[in-house]
Amino acid sequence: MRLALLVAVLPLLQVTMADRLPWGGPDLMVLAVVGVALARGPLWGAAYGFAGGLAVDLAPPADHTIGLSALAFCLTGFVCGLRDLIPAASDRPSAPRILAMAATGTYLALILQTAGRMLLDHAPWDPVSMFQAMAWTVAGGSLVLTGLLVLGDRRTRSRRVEPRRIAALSRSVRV
Amino acid sequence: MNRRRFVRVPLALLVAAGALVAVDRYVTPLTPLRAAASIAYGTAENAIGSLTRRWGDSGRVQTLEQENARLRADLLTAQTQRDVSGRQSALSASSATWLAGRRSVSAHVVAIGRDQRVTIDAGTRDGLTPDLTVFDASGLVGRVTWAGPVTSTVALATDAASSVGVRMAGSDEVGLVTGIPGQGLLKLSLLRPDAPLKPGDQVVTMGSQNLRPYVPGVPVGTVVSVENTPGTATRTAVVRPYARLSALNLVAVVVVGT
Repeated sequence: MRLALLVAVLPLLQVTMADRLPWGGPDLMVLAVVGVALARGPLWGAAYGFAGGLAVDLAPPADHTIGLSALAFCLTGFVCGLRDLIPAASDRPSAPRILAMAATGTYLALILQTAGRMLLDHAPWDPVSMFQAMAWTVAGGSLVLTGLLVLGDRRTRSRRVEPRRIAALSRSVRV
Repeated sequence: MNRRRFVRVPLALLVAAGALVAVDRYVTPLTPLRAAASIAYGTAENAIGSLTRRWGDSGRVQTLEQENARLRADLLTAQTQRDVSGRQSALSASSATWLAGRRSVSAHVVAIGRDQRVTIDAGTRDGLTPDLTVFDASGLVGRVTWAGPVTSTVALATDAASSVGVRMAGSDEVGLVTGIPGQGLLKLSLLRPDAPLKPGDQVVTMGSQNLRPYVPGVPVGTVVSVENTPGTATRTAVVRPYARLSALNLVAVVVVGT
């Protein structure tokens, strides 16, 4: 429920606040999609990426092809969530490992989105704003995201979990 | 856990997203979807915009700003009218008739996008249509690319895909300005390679056919540096726009009767 609310509100925050900052801002939706994928697996990651990307495609002043970000973020969410399916990665991931995955995931999402815009909408290659988005999202955002994920991980571990949530937890936290 | 579901559902979603792209790009633009989003997100953006404005400045400043924008639009109209009566040749004869039905709508920039697009809080309800000139108190901002029910999308003049027909304020030399990606500056190319050009020269819009997307006489910016490359077919220079396109607030849209 909270995640659904987030998917609706984030595009709004992005265009009214984050992109108004003088030096650009992080791509909030990319961070949310990668975060959800890392915490909950490929199914959630792909679904959240699709919904979030669609919201980003639709919220004005978006002026590009509808479905472009949905495609890019859906793929990213799926790939990021795959950490649970890879046997070697199924042990509890350490903080540096989560950081590496978050950085790779956000980078992938931004690259896919930009490539799509250039291919489909003939958007010009804009290295300055690309670098700004990269710096904010990949360098800054994935650090914050890792912090949140590690903290959340600890909290869920220390808390008594209700049976309903064990299935979900067993995917993200292999005990 | 059923592992097959891990592949099947994401795959279906990917195909769905691909289908959306294909339909919107190659079959038919998904205008109803965009209009719905303009109502839902646009209303929220407008509300946030008016809240932050109320918070930031008192109502008095707002009314003064609106009055200022209206007066400026009137001044521009008067100037163009004088221009047109002065040199009929500059504009086609049919253009003279639109002047009567022309008015300006003032709007606020409520959202900023990454790709040189901003949202303003006026839409088809206020008479806006695509391809209308947008300017603010300092100069040209851009043109309306899409008009939804309550919001419209404006492509800034610094968008690399936009090109504006211009003339030099003093010499009346004709040229074109396009956006330089990521720098907030414009590139001017004058059609005559030996045209006189120096830093500080002023650039104004030339005006498009039927005034869409650009009306004549809107100040665009000043020349900051001239490129001297002999043997080229055009004269090029870098122009800094008058309008602070990264910190826009109140803008005016010139509504041209169809």
